[in-house]
Formats: sequence, structure tokens, C-alpha cells
Amino acid sequence: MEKKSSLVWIDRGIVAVLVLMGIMMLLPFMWLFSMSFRPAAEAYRMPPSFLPPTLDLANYQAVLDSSVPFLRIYWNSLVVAVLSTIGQLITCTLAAFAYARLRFPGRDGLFFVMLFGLMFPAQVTILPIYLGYAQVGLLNNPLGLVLMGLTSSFGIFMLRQFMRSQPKELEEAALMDGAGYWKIFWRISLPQLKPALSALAIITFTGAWNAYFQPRALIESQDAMTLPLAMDLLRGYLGQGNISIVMAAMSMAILPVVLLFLVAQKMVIQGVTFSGIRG
Amino acid sequence: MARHYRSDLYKAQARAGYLFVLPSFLLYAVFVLAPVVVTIILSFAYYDISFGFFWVGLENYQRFFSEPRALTIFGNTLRFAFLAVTFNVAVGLILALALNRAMPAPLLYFFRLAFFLPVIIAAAFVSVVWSYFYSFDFGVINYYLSTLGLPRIPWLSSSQFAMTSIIIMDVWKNTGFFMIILIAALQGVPRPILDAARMDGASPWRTFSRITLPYISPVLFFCVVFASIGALQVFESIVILTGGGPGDATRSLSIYLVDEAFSGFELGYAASVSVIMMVLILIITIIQLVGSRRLVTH
Amino acid sequence: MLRRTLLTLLAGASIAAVVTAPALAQSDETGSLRLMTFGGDAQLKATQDAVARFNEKYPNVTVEVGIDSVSGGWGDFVSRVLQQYNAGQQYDVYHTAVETLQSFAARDMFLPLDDFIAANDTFADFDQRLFELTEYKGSTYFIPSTWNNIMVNYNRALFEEAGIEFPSREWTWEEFADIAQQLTVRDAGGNVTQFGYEVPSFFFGLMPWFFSNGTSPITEDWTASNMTDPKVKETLEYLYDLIHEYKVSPVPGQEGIENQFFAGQIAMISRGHWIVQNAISSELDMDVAVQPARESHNTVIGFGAYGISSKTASPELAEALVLELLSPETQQAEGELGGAVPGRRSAAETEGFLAFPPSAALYYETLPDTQAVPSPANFQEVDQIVMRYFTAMMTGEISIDDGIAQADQELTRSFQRIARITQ
Repeated sequence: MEKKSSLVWIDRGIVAVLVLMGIMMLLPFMWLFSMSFRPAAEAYRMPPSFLPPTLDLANYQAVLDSSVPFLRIYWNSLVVAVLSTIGQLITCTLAAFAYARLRFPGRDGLFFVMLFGLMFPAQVTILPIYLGYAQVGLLNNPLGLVLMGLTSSFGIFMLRQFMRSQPKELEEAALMDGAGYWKIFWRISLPQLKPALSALAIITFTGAWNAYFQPRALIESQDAMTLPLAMDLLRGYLGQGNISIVMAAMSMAILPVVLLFLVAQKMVIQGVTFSGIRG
Repeated sequence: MARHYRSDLYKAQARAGYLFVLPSFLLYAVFVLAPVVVTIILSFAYYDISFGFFWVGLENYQRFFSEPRALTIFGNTLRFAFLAVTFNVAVGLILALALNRAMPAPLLYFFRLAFFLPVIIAAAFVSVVWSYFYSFDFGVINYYLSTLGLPRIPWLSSSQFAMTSIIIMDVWKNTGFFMIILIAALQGVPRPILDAARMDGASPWRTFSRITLPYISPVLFFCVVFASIGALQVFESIVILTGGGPGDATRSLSIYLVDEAFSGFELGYAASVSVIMMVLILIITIIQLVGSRRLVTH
Repeated sequence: MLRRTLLTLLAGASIAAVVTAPALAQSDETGSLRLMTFGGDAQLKATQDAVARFNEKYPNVTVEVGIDSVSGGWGDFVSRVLQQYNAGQQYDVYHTAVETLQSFAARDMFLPLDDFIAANDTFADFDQRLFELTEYKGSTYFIPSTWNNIMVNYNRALFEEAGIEFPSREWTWEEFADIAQQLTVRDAGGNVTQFGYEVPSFFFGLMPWFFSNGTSPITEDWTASNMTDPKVKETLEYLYDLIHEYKVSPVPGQEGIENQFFAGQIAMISRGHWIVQNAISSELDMDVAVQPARESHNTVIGFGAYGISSKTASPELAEALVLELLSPETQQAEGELGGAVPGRRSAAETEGFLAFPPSAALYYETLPDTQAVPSPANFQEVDQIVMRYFTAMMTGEISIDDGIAQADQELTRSFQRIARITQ
């Protein structure tokens, strides 16, 4: 009995430590959010404060009033993130189905080559893409960002792992009944993939939403920019921008990601978990 | 007859396979493979818009390896990768073990949000905050240290601490990802075996090292490989905090690469640094794959 | 003195010329132009307004604007422009900065503008010093727009609190160190709560300390390292002492220093006109003073400039756009929006420009004492090498002697490489 109650106390201790850690993990976001409601002169005041003093939206208004077309840029980010997500869901599921379920010559070789993609940082591929886009008129165009984000090695890898962990019997039975591969894919495999797909969706969405390096290389017109580039313009040349206004813009940029996560979290967590298990 | 049927089936399957793989592979070839090939070619050349294109053989590679800074930069990259991978996975594992228990739903939501949010929010959106936390004279952390009567720590301005500070932020940013993967792996460990061990009076440590660890080792291994690939390419975490300084104390290969590509306008040289980086990642991944054959219990 | 009177006269004359010129009739010319500019919100606004005015005169010409925030530095900007030329995507008109001029001019990427400048007497309003600085091998490829020099910006309230007189036009390094110490405040525990000064941690801001000691990290003709000059060492030691001996400055390389200045936690800071707007919005009682002297009060100047691509299809339209981008209206708006000092003298003499800081006239008065920021074709490497060793020396990571020797070696190698290309 005594041993058990001491275990409970240890348990509570662990949970308490975790709560404390969780709050610390959130502190940077809390400071950012609180700064978006303060004047710039208070930015680096000591002691720091992590809660908004008022709910005065002046800094948010200032973002919208600036010469940076923030709403337009917000829309661009949404378009790029949504279309990239849809694209990846399609291309990655198709490929993952083939790599996990179908037999054809060169399959493992192709898959291996595809995996290589994880190893190439964006800095390596951007210049040739720029030159290619210049030829076909995709510079300064959010669709150019969509196009280069339509597939990913990570997505294919993750979905393939997930599919391989699912039982095959249903599919084999359907094949015996003379169903085509497309039908098997669409009617049987896809419905089972739901949690993995929502995980991939959130990873792709946030990846496109947060991307900085590629958009910066491919976009110069403020009307075609995405949110991380708008932050640069608001921070200003030589940092002459107003830090509170930047924080307000950042808070607005973070908001959809937080919402998306809150809505989809259960599915996401279920899905992410499968990317790693069972080879 | 049966054989004929089977080979037809096989052909149909192969055709379907290629069709399914086609869209992604085409995109991959255009946006990854082709650029990488261009980069490899460029690494043997000197190129400038108005001065032209010349083959220079191995000159770019020679320049990197005769650069006195190369060793430091290589060392930094490996040191960062080793520490960041270790801590990201270890902290992720500890959190996973701690969280792998029954708890009230609101608490569970809170933990998910707190530990996973940094993973999905761009470093660019939190860079200002972290620089402010770490600032020597005006930073949040040092403010609290000095109110406690402790000495201020030069988080970013001393080579002794700068790398540590970067790793702390990197773990904050990425460990949640590994935590979630590992929680799932822990839930896959069969309950009856764990219960039996407890009945036999095995200590928690022994249960963990003899039962849990072998069970989750393939997943753990995946985490290590995945984290290594990311860590060897580290860019953002360093740029937003120290930009590679003080001096060269935290400069990684990818930062050096961008410095050279965009400041020296030396595309050929930058390309050779990228090739070196790709080869390094490849070698380390292969070593890990081979090593895992021996270590991981299947 | 004579020179200044002459310039003022010239300026007056050119304003008169602008005012009396008949209103421009609308042109029915059609076409399209692409304009690449740099900066953030403020610069974008000024550019958009100028383009709108241009479109009043040329309603059938569409102008596409691109902007780079220069958050990756000027080298990154040059790479971007080189890439645009590479891909045949160059713009017709570029707004760029002095740092980049040699890199561009050496590659014949821009049209010489000597005839254009000579044909438009409106440019007489611009200080000739600025034109001198844009020359490359005897030709002018760029027309200066706005400029910045580094001044000591100081918080007047903190001077009054400490009972110190405002800085004089003659102050020296010694007086400066003394004043900075009086302005540094510590709490009971010895922690600094208010710093006297901030030793700048960016190349441009650092230069006045070298220039006012009659030296520079690279030679005057920008072709070799000058790190081993004893005066360079003397300058570095002085700055090191400000941080570690007198403890009047925070360690270089920290984020948000300007906000500390606006919040009254730093009394003096070396910056350009770009901080004026934030000082106003923070209601800071700020003024500007000249660079303290060892040998002279010399400070650094950098400026923006417009150039026309040598590949443009419509040079006349591009010239017309440049005229509008440099018109008195645009210049006046830029001066009053803050960010830089207008290149037109008349635009820096308006009430709006002179309203704040109180000694705003000092910007133009110190113009003759300015030296251009060192901008060789390998400027980005020079910047990175100098700053990398500078922060290492100032944080005590490396001794000043070792830092100088190693920086000298690296600079020498970089200049050797660039010499292969430019000759």
C-alpha cells in the first residue's frame, strides 16, 4: 500500500514537471503575442511580460495600413499552402500505393532514388529552378511555388510505411474478384489511409506556409509574395520597421497553423506516429 | 494457361505501378534530380555572368580542403549534428516515456499543443524572440539569472556557450516530433510482457532496457537517421541566433555554402561545397544503416 | 564656404527651374517598364507614390515593381541581380546601393548616364560629392537618390539627467569615452542598467571609428588589406576598452539594440537617419552629433542610386521614370518619411525634414567630411571577414593581435581572387 501511494506521488511529480516544461515551451509564443499589443519601446523592457496588457489592436491595424499588401499576401500563402497540400496528397498516395503494394521491375531502385531527395537541401536545387522558371514565366508567381511543392520524398516514404503496416487481405480479395488497381487504390487503400493523410496534410501545409528560402529566391513582386517575405518588408531595411507591428503580423501568420493543429490534432498525431514504425 | 494468366496479371500490375509512380517521379526528376545534376556539373567549373564559364577540374574542391577554416566548419557541422540528434531523440524519448500514461483529456491536449507547436511554426516567426531570450545584456534568461544572484551567461557571444544555446533552441523546436513518434512506438510494446516482468519484480530500469528498448529500437533508429539528415543540413537554427559566430564558432557547412554562393558570387565553388555536404550526409546515412543491422533487434 | 554658397545658389536656381517649367502634358507613349527597388515598407510606399505620379504623365506605360528587403545583405542582392541578367529577367531600372556599384559596373550591366545627367540641370540640386562617389573608371552609371551617414545619436534627457553638456562639434575620442562613462549607470549589484554607448556591430556603423582615426580596414583604393596599419589596431583597442575596460557598451552582436536606445537604456548610438522615424514614434528626446575625432571627424557615407540596365528596350522611358523617382516631390516625401537623407539639397531644407532631430542640418553640414563605405567588387566578403573577426575580438574570443593577423590573411586571399576576375 505504502509503495503504491509513493508511486502516485512520483507520478504526480512527473506530471507537474511536464506541465512546467509545457509552459516553458509556450513562453516564446506568449511573449510574441503579448508584444503585438504593446508599443515598440516596451519590446525589450525588463522584467519581461508574457501576457497582453490590453487588447488594443492598433498594431494589427498598422499591419493592414502599411504599403505591404498584407491581405493579398495572406491569400497567396493560403493558395500556395492549400494547393501544395492537395497536390502532395494526390501524388504521394499514388506513389506510396505503388511502392507498397505493386510489384514491377525497378520498383525498389526508384524508391531508393526517391529517398535520396531527403538529403538535398533547398540551397542546392534553387538556382537551376530559378533559371528554368525564368524560361517558362513562373517567376514572381505563387503557382511556381505550388508546382515545385507538388510532391515530396518525405510524404511518399511516410505513406508507404503506413500502407505496409496495413493488412493486405482486403486488397487481395478484391483483386481476385477482378477489380482493377485504380479501384483497389480508391475504394480500399485510400479510406484506410485517413490518419496518415491528415498528418501529411498538416506537415505539407505548415511547410509551405513557413517556407522562406525558396519564395525569397523566386519572388520579387510584393503582390506575389508569401507571409515570411512580408515579415522582411515589415522589419524594414536596416531594421527600421516597428517591432510591435512585425509581432502583430507574425501573430496573424501563426494563427491558422495553431487553429489547424487544434482541429486536426488527434488525426495528425495518429498519422505522424506511423511514419516511423514498422519498416 | 495459368502461367499465361499470371504473366498478364504481372504486366497489368507493372503498368499500373509505373502509372501510379509517374506523376511524383516526374516532378521529382524536374525539381530535385535535374538541379542536383546541374549542381554537380557546376562544381567542376567557374562561372560568372560576364566573365563566362570555364572548366576548372578539381580546383573548387582543392580550395575547400586547403581552406584553413574548412576543418572548423566540418567539425562544427558534425558536433552540432551529434549533439542535436542525441538530445532531440533522447529528450523526445524521455518525454514519450513520461507522457505514455493515462491522464485527463485537457492535460493531454495541453501537452500535445505545448510540445508539438514549435515543430509546426516557422523558425522565422520566432527568431526575434529567441535572440531576445539569449541576449547577454538585455536578455530574459540573464535577467532572471541575475535576479537570482547568479552570473550572466554569454549565451551567444562566447564560443563556449554559443553551440549549446543553438542546440537548446533546436531541441525546443524539434523534439516534439520525435516524442510523438516514440509515444506510438511505446504503445506498440505488448502489455502482457510488461506486466509479466513487473510481476517477476524486475526494476523499472531493467524492464525498460530488456523489454521496451529492444521493442522500440527500429523506431528509435528511424528517428536517429531522420534527425541526422536534418541536423547535417542545419541552417535556420544557426542563422537566426549567431549567423555562424562568434568568429567561426558555430558556422556549419550549409551556412558557409550560402555565404560563398551569395557573397563571393562564386557559384562553382558554392556548388562544390554542396556536393561535399551531400556526400557527407550520404556517408553518415550509410554508416548508420550498416551499424543498425548489428544493433537493432528485429 | 564659397563652395557651399555656390551649391545653395545652384540648388535655388534648379528649384526655380522646376517651378517655372510648364506643366508636362500627358504623353501617349505606350510600353512597359520594370523597376527593381530595395528596402521595406517605407521605401515601398515612396516608390509606389512616385510610380503613380509617373503614370499621371505616362498613363499608357505600365510599371512593374519588384522589391528586395536586403535582409540577406548587399551581396545577396547582387547575386539576385546577376541571376536576373543570367535568366534574361533583368529589370529596366534598378535602385541599388553604393556597396554594389563596382560589382555591377565591372560587368557592364548598366548604361553610362553622363549625357543624361548633363542634359538635365535638375540634377544640379544634388550634392556633387554624391556624383563623385558613383564614378567608375571615368563614367557615371548611377544617379544618387538618398544617402545615410553615421552620426552619434544621443538621448538628450539622459545627458540632462547626468548634468552633462550636449556634445560639441569638436569632441574627441577621449571626451567621448569620458562622457560615455558618466552616462553609464549601475545598480547596487554592479549590473549595468543604462549603457553610455553601443559599439556598433555592423560594418557600415563601425567605419567612422576607423575613418576618424585616419585609417580603414582596407586600403584607400579598395584593392588590398590594410589591417596591419597600427592605427587599425589602435582603433580596435579603443573600442575593446569601451566594452571591457570602461564597461560603457554592451557586447556587440545582440538583437534589438535600437529598441534599447528608444527605451532609454542606451544613451548614445551610432546610426544613420533611418532611426529618426522610430525615435519620433517612441517620443524620444533625441539629437545628432558629429563623429568624435582622433585625427578628424570623418564619418562614413552610403547611398542609394538609380541605374538603367544596359539591356533595357526603352531607355528613354526608363530615363523618364528615373526623373520621376528623383523628382523634388519624391525626394521630399522620402526625406519626411524617414529612412535616409534626400540627395536633393532642397528636399533636406524643408521644414518637415529639419523639424527633427533638432540638429538635422548637421546631416548636410557633415557631408564634406564623409568617406564612402569601402565597396570593392568583393565587398560582401570584406564585410564578412572584418565583422567575423571584429565580433570575435570584441567578445574576447581571440586576441586583437591574432584577429588582425588572421583577418589580414583572409582579406589578402579574397583580394587575390577578385583581382583574377576584375583585371
